[in-house]
Amino acid sequence: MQNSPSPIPSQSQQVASGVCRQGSRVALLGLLFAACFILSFSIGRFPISPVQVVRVLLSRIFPLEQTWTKQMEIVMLNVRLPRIIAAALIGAALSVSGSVYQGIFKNPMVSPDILGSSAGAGFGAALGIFIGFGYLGISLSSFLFGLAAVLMACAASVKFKENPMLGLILAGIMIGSLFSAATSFLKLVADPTNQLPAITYWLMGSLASIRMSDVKLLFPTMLLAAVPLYLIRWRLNLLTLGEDEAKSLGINTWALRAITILCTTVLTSASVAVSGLIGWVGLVIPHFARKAVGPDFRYQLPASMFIGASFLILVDDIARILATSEVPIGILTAFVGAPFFLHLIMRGGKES
Amino acid sequence: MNISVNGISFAYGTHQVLKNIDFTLTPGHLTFLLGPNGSGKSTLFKCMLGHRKPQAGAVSLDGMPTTGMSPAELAHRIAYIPQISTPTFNYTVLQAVLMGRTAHMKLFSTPSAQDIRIAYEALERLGIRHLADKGSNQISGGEQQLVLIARALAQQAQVIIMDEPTSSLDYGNQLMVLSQMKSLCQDGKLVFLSSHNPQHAMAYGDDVLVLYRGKVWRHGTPQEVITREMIHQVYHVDVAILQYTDDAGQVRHMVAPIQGGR
Repeated sequence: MQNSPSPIPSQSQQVASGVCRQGSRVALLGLLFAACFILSFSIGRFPISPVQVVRVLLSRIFPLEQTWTKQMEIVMLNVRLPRIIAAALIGAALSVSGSVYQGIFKNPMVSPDILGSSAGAGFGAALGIFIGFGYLGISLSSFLFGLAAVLMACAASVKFKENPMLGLILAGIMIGSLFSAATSFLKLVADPTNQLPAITYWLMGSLASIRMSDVKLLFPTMLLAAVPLYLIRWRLNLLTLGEDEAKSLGINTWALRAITILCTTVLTSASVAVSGLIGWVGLVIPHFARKAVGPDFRYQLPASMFIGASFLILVDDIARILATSEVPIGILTAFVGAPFFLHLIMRGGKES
Repeated sequence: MNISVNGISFAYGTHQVLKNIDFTLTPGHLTFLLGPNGSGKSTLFKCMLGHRKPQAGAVSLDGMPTTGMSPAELAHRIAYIPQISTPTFNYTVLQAVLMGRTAHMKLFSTPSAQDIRIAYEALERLGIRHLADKGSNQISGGEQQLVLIARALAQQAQVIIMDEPTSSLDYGNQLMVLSQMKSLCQDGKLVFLSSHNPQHAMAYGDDVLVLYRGKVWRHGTPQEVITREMIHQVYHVDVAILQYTDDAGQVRHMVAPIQGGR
């Protein structure tokens, strides 16, 4: 414990090795994501070779001789591209939200819907379908109700002065179950021939109906919410400590939490608004991210983003090819996520 | 830097925890805060750290009240070392110590080369530099406590407040941590730590402050404060205060329980 006589590497070497190891792992995960992204264009009922995929993508930037058919280009850019981008964005958003929530609630078993945003967004969509809104209206209603649910949970938790985080979780669970009950009520009174199946299918989560116009809305919204989280990435580490401990290290815990919860709620609600409920991603992926690069948010955030994006792209590929009629992606993520969660419980929720 | 508590009173609802507390601590001194469970030790710390706002009175540093200071301004002056607990996430020792640098960073910054150098210096000072890349759950309780002390050093605050640092450590680590704190005081820090062990205060303290029934019961040197009468009144047990001469020929005092005494 006292000064160890054993030779230790010089300071700069130590610093360099630590930073480089985690930095290069994040870079490696970035490459994995790029590979998943490109290969996914090849997957589907209409075969396109990976070489052609790269050529078509490059031809948007450089003038290349056309060795592919017009049909290939349409399938790639109009059918598959929006879906792959959406899968990447939603996978990244849910994983980043999950990482941040597990950190600020100091609990690796927490998922981003703990404060009721998914239940709220689900109700918003069901309400939109029930009233007969168009596609954009449904998404917007879903997004707004997701935000509203979390704001209500935050407002309800103000009364818990002694343990604000426990109060927030309890309020979130309460608000979430209220919205779930409201969704069930809408299903009960909805027209069973077309509204009820629409609501049910929407709640299962699917990327089948994604169009480029959705991506154009989704991308800036998510960017707006992700940038502040990335900027405060170092300070997020301090929120994983005790309340008094974090305060005495010199951060304004209340303000930092408020910004964090607002940004993660926007990420989650925007995801649910375009894809429906996709569970488990936000719970499971952060564990892989921490295994790869450790809990420091300087590395955990980008790692979560890349792993989450790659994971949802791959699961969506499976959803596209598994059966003759498409399997909702929310079902597939549950098939992967639930057994993993059981594994976590059996290990006592501990990190390795 | 002096820290003064001037006439602080604090109540949770109708339950009055602190009544008109008044004292001043000076740099270079290791002061022990003694008091039975529920005597308000933690509440006093919370008021001094600015986590609780007292209903009356104020805390000041060199005569300047801390009331208007931002969390970062306070963190530049006062460091807090909590009791060790099982960490939820496995941060490395270096990352944990770097968290102490946050108050010195800009809002959107991450640790600079300078911050990393200061963190290594703090680890070096406590003799645990070789643990820098270890995970927090791979090290012993004593080492975890040293990491928290290193974090407080990296924070570069003059005043260090410590909540029962010895409560979950084995005997050897208890004495090791206390002598580290003693040596920090010799470097000019002001350390104020709570303890349930009067013998520790006797052996290591420069000053002892006894909090009892919400008031400062006694404040002075260990020999003045730790007496049979004080222990009997505050803890309702009987002890003898023994004298012995240490290897250096210095007369020392020791708190010894009397068996069957009550």
